Amino acid sequence: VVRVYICPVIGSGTKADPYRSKAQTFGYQYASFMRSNPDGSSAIAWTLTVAASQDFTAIDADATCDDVFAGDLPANVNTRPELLAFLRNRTVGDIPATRRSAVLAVLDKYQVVRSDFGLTTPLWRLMQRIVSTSYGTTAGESDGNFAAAFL
Amino acid sequence: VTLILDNFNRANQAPLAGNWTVGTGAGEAAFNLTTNVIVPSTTGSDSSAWYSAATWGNDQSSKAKLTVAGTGGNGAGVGLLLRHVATAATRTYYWFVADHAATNNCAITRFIAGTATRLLTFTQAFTDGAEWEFRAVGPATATVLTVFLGGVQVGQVTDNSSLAAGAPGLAFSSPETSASVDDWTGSDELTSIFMATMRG
Repeated sequence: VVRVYICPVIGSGTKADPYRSKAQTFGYQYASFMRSNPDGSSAIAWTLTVAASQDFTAIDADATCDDVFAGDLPANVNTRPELLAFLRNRTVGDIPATRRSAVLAVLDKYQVVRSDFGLTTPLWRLMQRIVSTSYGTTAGESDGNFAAAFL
Repeated sequence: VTLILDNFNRANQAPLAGNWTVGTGAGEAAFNLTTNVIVPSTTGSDSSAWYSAATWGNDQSSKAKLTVAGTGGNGAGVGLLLRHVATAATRTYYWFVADHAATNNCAITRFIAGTATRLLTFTQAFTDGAEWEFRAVGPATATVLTVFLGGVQVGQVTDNSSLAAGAPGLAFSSPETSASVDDWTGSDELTSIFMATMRG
């Protein structure tokens, strides 16, 4: 099962303790978007992380990791193409109101600009915007770029 | 366009030399050419080497047959390098390694002047001697890193850093019991693949 989290960046940058998503602490397979400074140090304190596991209990119990879609990803989303298809075909308005509030609260927590989003905005755009916010560039807003961006 | 094939079928070298340059950064020991394959000179240290006798485009591929004895995972294993800067003492490159750990046995790590950032961790079983390929495509601000096993994509992540250019090569991440690399191919003819990805 694949889920999308925003996690703290942990580590000291050594080979034995590299900068990485806190998702690794829980033993998940994961891909993360890690912008660096020119010297290689982490340029941001948090990272969008796409994690794969059969059990997300541990990360869900960690208050420093936020489930971006607030549990709205179904259990049959297991691969990148499936996640891509799901997020492209589901809009903000499709999410039940309570869970939608949780999603928007996560965006606000990380200062992700959403003023141009509405109920018809695909969830895919939310993910793009989180990446572009973490990257400090609009590069992540390119659909073509982002389609190839995670495990 | 650069396309280099090296089967390492020649006299032993310690360290690997000729068209190759071995890394001498912190924590790195040499690769040797021993009995027609590349092996780390010590399995207690990391090793890197890049093909330094060619000019490489920024979009590039490193492909080889990898063999390793070890199940440590967590970023240990044998593997491939991309965008290795042409300074032996500076650990600046993208690094993919794999071993035989039951889970999370494959990892992509970015090194910039020795500072390490883990970008991708995944599980992919493989048979020793299998052919792995590691590709980097795109500008430094949006580099797509892709791993293939036997021609099938098994992992991918995008990175945003200052690591824009360099040469492809070989990697070993300690500790493991033993490791070897054979039949290496480096290429920078990836434009058509990149465009297909962009359109896809």
